[in-house]
Amino acid sequence: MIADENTIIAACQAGQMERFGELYERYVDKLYRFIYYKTMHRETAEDLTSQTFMKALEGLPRFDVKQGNFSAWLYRIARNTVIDHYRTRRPMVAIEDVWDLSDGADMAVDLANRELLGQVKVLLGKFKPQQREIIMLKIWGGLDYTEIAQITGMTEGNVRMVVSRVLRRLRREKTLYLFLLTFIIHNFSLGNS
Amino acid sequence: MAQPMDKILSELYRLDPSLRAREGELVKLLAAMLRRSPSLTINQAFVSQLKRQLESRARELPVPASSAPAILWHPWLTAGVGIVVILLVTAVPLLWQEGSKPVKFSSAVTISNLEQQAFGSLSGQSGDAQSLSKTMNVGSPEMAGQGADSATGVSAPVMSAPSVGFGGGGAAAGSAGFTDKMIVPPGYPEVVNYNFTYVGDEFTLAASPLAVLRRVKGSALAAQLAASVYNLNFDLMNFRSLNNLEVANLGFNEDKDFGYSVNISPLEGVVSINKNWAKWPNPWQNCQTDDCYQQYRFKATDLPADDAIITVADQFLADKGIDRTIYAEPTVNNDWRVYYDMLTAAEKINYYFPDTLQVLYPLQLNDQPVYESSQRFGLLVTVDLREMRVSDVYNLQTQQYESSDYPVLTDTAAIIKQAKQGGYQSYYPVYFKDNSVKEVTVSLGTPVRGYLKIWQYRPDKQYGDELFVPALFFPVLNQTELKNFYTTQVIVPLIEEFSQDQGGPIRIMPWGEPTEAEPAVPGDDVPVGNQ
Repeated sequence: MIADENTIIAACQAGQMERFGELYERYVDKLYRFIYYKTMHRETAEDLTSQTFMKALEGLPRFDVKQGNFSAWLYRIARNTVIDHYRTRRPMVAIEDVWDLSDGADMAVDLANRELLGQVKVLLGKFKPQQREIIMLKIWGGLDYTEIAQITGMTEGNVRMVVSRVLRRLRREKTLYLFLLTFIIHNFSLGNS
Repeated sequence: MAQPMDKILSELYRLDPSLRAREGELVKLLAAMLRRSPSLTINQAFVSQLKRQLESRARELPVPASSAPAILWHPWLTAGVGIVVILLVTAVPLLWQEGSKPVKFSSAVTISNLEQQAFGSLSGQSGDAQSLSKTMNVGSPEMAGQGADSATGVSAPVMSAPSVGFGGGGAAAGSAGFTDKMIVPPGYPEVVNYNFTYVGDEFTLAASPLAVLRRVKGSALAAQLAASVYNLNFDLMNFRSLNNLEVANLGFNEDKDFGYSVNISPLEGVVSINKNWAKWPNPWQNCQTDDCYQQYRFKATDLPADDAIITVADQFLADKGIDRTIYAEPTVNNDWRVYYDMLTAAEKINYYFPDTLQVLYPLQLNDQPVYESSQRFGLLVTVDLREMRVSDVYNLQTQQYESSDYPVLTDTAAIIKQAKQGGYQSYYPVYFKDNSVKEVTVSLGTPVRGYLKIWQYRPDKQYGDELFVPALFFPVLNQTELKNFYTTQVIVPLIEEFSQDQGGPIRIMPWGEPTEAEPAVPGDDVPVGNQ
């Protein structure tokens, strides 16, 4: 799959930009879900997904496959786009996604998700943004450790250690119910609903 | 929900094997949470729209210099200039696979906004507006000298003749000698000039652009169904030798009494339901004599009330899970009564009353009515009145749309003028006033806003586009008083593009020397000759 992707990327960089559509169709669903679970608002997620793919399209001529894989690069763009979205609106506060908000009520959140947001926030609020990012990428995004390392700029070893520490803390604090909740969301993000 | 449960459990155990010891507790918790979980499906209309935007942006991006074919380098150095001329072949055909995953096969109405005028010319390739107006204006300036052919290749209905000897004229002479905007009169026994007059209220229009809607066609279902084709084992041919299959049409029958035949067009996003003829009773099938046929003839007293007919239709839709919430209140199409009321007493005795009637569920978009020509458009459900069962359903379509703004007409005087000329696709010609021509006034009331559904031919696609154009619908207030006049609405599209090159209705030349001057174009206060 990655070899196939590199072929498509090379074709785009050689002038066949119409082939970007193949990359788009592979990632639009997953990327949208990733952004959605960082914003919990459909319209915002659609807007940020659009921005992400536009940036990817315009940046693709400069993308170097030797520096990392396309998936990680795309997720990095998405992640930064989400961060920019929240920081634009709350520049004085270090907000990276909706889970950073104190109650979510001051920014758009789909009504149906408010209860869920409240529940999972209790879980994710315990962790630092980087730890939270890694949890969401691993559990909700379904990415492997190598990809997460490329997105976050950490080493693979550090990423594994973070995941292990997070799980131990969850088990110690007996937040089994909420821990399971993340898996439910992950599986529904894969389209099992 | 067993599958999601298993998947979740195996992931949990992979991360933390000690959780196996708590499987009983986990299963209970998971079951409770699965019942309450949110579902997230991406909006396919959004996916299509974004794809189009990316397409458009990709076309604008500069082609990297390294992509230029080497054979087209033409270095041109001179001592004093030092200019290098590079010829690049920049024609990069865009070959997006349209329709690969655009539309969910659903009746849920969604509208996605595109950039302004995203659909291009609405009338340039249309099977409706421009070609029709060109056809019906044989003597218009661009038609003069061209004979029967228009730019669209459609022949004019009749040939026009030189105006020599008729004293009138007013069009510029063409190179082939066709000088008049008139056609040869048809051989009707009675000719009528319909004079459209506006008697409604004053109205104004906002200057801001209005959205034209385009129904999104194509469906992921076509490709999904095609996957099943590969699993078919026909000795006739090897389906696996085919690539990129999509199912264009799919049909099946219910093999039971009063069963149905269903046809699905995934690419058009349409489902049709018809009775399976082999499984419905046909009382005439053994008739050999007229008496036999007559005994089954429907009488006026056999006709059920409209409420009963609608109840049958409603129940059918409910049983089949067809969503009615996107439609306005249903009505029974009783157009047959219009013709019946015009008959004499003797004719009424021999009238064949219908044994099927259609129930219309009018489509509403953005809370506005939708018309196709001058009739409300929507879901059509035919009820067999003998059996009091639904026999057919038409216009069951997916309801995903794209929206794009277009400039509008704002001059109400010009709009009313168009209405007085008969409006969009008006077929009512104008005759010279003489003793044989009957003058009839058609009163137009205050218009209502709605959408006009038109079909636009697309040579680059295997299907045409369905466009929904904002328009004003002027009701004909005295339609029931007029003989042989069946138009109920005069339509004027509000999009500026449709007002261009209308030219007015057809004018008929007189049989002999005219007793009056050439008829003025309806809607004008000044005769044509004086302009």
